[in-house]
Amino acid sequence: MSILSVNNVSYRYKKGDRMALNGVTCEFEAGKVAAVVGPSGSGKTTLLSILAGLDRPSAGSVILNGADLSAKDLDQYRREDVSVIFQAFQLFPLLTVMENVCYPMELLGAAQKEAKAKAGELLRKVGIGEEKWKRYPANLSGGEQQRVAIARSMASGAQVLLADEPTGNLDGENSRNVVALLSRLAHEENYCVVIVTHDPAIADASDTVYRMADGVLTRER
Amino acid sequence: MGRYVLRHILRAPGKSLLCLVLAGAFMVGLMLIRVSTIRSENELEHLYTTTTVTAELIKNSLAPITRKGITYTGYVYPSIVDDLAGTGFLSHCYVEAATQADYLIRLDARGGVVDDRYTVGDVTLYGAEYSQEFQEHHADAGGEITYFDGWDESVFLQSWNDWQSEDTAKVYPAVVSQKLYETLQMEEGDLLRAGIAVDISGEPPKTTRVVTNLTVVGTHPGSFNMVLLPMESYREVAGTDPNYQRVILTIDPAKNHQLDEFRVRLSDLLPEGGVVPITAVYWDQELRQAIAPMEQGITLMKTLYPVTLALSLIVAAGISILLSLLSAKEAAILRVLGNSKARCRAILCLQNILPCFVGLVAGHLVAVVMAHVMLPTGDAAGLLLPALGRTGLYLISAVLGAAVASVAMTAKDPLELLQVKE
Ligand SMILES: Nc1ncnc2c1ncn2[C@@H]1O[C@H](COP(=O)(O)OP(=O)(O)OP(=O)(O)O)[C@@H](O)[C@H]1O
Ligand SMILES: [Mg+2]
Repeated sequence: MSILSVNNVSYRYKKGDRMALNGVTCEFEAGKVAAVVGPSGSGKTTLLSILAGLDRPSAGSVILNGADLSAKDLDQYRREDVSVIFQAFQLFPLLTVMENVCYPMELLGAAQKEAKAKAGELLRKVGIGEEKWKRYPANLSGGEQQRVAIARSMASGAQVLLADEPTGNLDGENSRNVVALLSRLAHEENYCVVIVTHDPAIADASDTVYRMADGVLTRER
Repeated sequence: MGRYVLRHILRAPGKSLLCLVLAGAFMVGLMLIRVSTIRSENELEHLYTTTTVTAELIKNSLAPITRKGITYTGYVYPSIVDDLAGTGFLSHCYVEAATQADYLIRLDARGGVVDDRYTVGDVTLYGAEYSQEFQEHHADAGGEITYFDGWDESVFLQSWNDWQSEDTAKVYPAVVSQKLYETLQMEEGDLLRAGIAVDISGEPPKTTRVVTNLTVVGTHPGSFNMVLLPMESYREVAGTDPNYQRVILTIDPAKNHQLDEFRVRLSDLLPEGGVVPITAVYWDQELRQAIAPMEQGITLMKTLYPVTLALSLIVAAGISILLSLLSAKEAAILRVLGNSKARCRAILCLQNILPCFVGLVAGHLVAVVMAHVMLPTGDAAGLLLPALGRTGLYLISAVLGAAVASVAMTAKDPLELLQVKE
């Protein structure tokens, strides 16, 4: 069942001379991993930022669970409904692992104790042992940092996980772990996972594959 | 939000301390400049009101003054001294007149000539106050006067008419040298008769010859031919106002600030002041030498103050902007996680302003205490409001800097800041 559908979305950057997205239409389903591939500069990240609620499309609409995003407060949408996972992890460097994962819950007004309990649960789920919870991100390996970032993305209870080149900074082993983790989250916990990637291996492992070229998106598989 | 901000302040102690220390240091530094300025001003004022400046009226030419074959010693008209005394600028005025006595004969207590042999010629009669000034200007004056019984230094200050009865021949007190006293083989109570020429005020100067009786009230250890008369007596002897040969004006220290005004007044009077052209020589090096560097220091501090103040405001804004820019990435993460732009701005601002604020409060307190410790209460009180103003300005500047930077930060597309660029 599709929870996020994009209907004929176009987008032009304020300083851009051409359309970064041109009539993009697609559907993302819960319990599935979707990959978006395409050459550099084709508009993948632009699509992601629209999906993440960081900008509104110039034309067209994005529908979340039947509700049009244009009617929604995007700040709230980002707090509650979507999460983004980055190539460079983007954890708060001055917060500990535990604090990083608690942050989205604190933002939603959760009590500290409950937030910690849930964060612990999530960290265990992504394979970060308790001995690392008090560390700062700089003291973790890249693979660990990315798993903490995935734990953080689940913390708010968002169902849609958007990842932009999540394995770009990782070696083969860690890449496979992260992809496996994201697949598991989709297939076992019903998350809707969208991965922007250059990596053919990720595309092969995905349930659906979209290809972006010059702002135009086509379904490949 | 509070917790996030607090953690970021405490866990980036370098940044926070920089903000805090800069704010505090500027407040203390600026106060230090103001306090030093006021202290210097007070010191200068003290110097002004305690340093004595004197001016001496001297003739322009060293040549002796002769008219029609007569040599005159006095050349400053008493009228200029009277005029100057009336200006209120002077705290003291030392005047001295002198004349040659043709002869000096010893008389007995009743006024009879004892013996013609007890005569000396070529004696100088001084009308002056026997003061430090007199001794400074007469190397041969030498030391203490030994007064005879019933006399003391007040003889130089009294008006002489008081004790003179109308009918008796006038006798004036005089101090002679110990050597002269011995040469004339005098005894206490003996009189002297002097034949003198007295310079008289006016143009052309005149000289009158008078004979007068002196009573010796004491002896001085100085040179043989120096005879001292109180000025008051000298005038009496001269019968009319004698010209002065030495005039030393002591400017009231309270009027030192108006020294230039006094100079103008005096130089206006000078052309009419003497028999020959006269000039005023000011002995004010002490004042000038001490004042010049202090005034320079004060000027420097008064220039330094606005410069430092401007610098502090630029630094306040600059540091705020710089540190906000350094937090750009975190601001982008905050945005992606669902914070509104306004909230991101508030977080960025608070993060930089709070340490600055703490530094300001601490710096302000130290500055106020410093002012109270280093300055008299009245002066310190006057610095409190400006100090508060500075603290406020610094805060406003820091807040403005942070606000501008945070607006600029949140205007950017967060993904652009967070994505890896190849
Ligand atoms: N802030 C911006 N202002 C103007 N143009 C932009 C901006 N960001 C991206 N673009 C342009 O929009 C187009 C799509 O960019 P986008 O970042 O979505 O590409 P991408 O597919 O993610 O590329 P990559 O694989 O290199 O990350 C490109 O031509 C890019 O130059
Ligand atoms: Mg991209």
